[in-house]
Amino acid sequence: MGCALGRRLRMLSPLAEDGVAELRSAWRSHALTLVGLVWGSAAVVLLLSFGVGFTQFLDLGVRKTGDRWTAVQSEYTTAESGGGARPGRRIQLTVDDFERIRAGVPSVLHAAGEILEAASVETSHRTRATVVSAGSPETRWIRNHVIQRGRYYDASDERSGRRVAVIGAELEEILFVDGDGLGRSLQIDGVPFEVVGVLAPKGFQLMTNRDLHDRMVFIPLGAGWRLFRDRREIDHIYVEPRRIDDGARMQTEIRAALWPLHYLPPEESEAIRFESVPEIMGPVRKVFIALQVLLGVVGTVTLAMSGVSVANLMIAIVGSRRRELAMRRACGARRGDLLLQLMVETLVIVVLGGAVGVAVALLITTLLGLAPLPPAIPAPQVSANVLLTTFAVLTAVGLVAGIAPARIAARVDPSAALRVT
Amino acid sequence: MNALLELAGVRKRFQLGEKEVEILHGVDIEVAEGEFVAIMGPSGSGKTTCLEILGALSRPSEGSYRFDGRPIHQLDDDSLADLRARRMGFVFQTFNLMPRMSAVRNAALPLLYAGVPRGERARELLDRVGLGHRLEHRPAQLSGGERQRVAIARSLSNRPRLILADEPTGNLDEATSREILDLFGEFHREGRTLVVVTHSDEVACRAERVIRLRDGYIA
Repeated sequence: MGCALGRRLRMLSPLAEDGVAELRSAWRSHALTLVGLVWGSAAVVLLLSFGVGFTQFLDLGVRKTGDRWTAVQSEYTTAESGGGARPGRRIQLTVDDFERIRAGVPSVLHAAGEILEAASVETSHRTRATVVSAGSPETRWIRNHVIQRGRYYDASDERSGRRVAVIGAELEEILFVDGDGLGRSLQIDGVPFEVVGVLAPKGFQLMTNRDLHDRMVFIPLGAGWRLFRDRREIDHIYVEPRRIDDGARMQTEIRAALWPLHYLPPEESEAIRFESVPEIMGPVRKVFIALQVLLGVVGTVTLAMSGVSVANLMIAIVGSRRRELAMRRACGARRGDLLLQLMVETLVIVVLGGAVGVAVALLITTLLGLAPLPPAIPAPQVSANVLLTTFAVLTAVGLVAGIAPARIAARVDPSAALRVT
Repeated sequence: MNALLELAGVRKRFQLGEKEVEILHGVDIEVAEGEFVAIMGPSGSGKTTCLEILGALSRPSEGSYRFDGRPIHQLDDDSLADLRARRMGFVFQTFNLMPRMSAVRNAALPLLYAGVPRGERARELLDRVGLGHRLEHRPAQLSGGERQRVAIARSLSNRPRLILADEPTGNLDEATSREILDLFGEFHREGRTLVVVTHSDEVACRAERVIRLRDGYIA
């Protein structure tokens, strides 16, 4: 058995050489099949790469915006009456809610209040309309703000009411002629602020602010109240649980903490809502995985269609080479040897066509990577997994396509060497 | 001298549509080791069928075939293939070369199935049959005589004890036929056993013994 296996293994190289010689001498008749294989394998690589590109885009987009937070939102109205209040009452989050969560909800690791306002930002050179985020220092950790230069505002800035600002890298380029805003002054709606930090560029991020982040201004919450609000109102509170799977418990604890403050009955679900990144991203991720599978299946089916063409070609080849195959049998080839030969020849064609297809796909993905695509459109990503999957699909297509012709070849009778004319 | 080939009471039947046709009707043949035998007979006499059985290309429907004392008719398909790979060489009227392979690869073909490294042996044999300068030529680039020389080199590559030839000079001109027969004569002198199916009296003249078949019987 081991000897038979060794014999077959020794045959692989010369049979592959024969396969290449066959392909070289008859490439014209194989051309259409090869084009099908090139197209099929390029389709597999491209579609899988788009799937990977979408998934990486999703992962990166969420990682940029922070992937663990839940936003506590208000400005909805109550659906239930409770605590003597009428239904349809407007609920406004305030700093008291934020303080209550920060101090009294054990499952919360970080909490940050935020006000978002459109404002005019001005330096001695330029003016720009943008969005200003006034928030707690914890925003930095929750929303994954990375400092490129300088520092982020901190608790002492908050306490002292200092007017400091952290700006996006793109906004720095826009507002300051020399591109350096650190330590310089800018005015928000006419009120001066000192730039203490510049954020690393994020590009496009998911969930909030999309591609706006790099052009935004971030200031302490207290400064934001004084600038934009009469009272200590906030738009939403970002919270991050100590453990990622504590999300549901955290929401229950926040309800227990906030509902009494706003005289809300326990069953009230409209007035204050939770928008949780992990909860939103779970189903979205499943959709993306399903999309990836779908794209993979479409590519595989395309390649399988070209496999049918390969099988037909090989069946025709076996028919035209019957005498040659019989001669090989007369020279001592076993039925299994001819089976192996046809499988190897089929794989040579499939692998060659597939390799050209993969090269074409790599060229296309490289060109797409260099093209200036809109930030919300992910470029395809060729990963090792994509190439391994393509190789596995190609091998499977080659083996399946080779079965029928190989079985026909193996049935060729050696006496046909004497009789076929 | 010991018998290398022994056919005893061999019958061969083929299915033609719904009808079964018997081509050989109980043939007995013995060929001694080192003998040069020609099988002659008119078309349809069963010469090629006889060669098929002697070359282990098909099994008798009835009767026995012993090769070097070993009952061949009982062997399975793979064992027959191994026997052909190691003990037999074939030369055909239409050469049966692999059209896309060079002369040297054609000559080395049986070595692939005998599990012997290819290359040097095939070059030596092509050199011996006078084609040392045309190793990398494909069959289409060779003359009829040169193709048959490649086929002869192929039949010798696995150092067979038996060479079977079916009308080896049938497609060749007189001069080339004579050269090919000279080569057969050389192999015979080296002690190889040759069985040649032929219509040609010239070929038969070179053989030590002629077996004549008529309508599936030894005449």
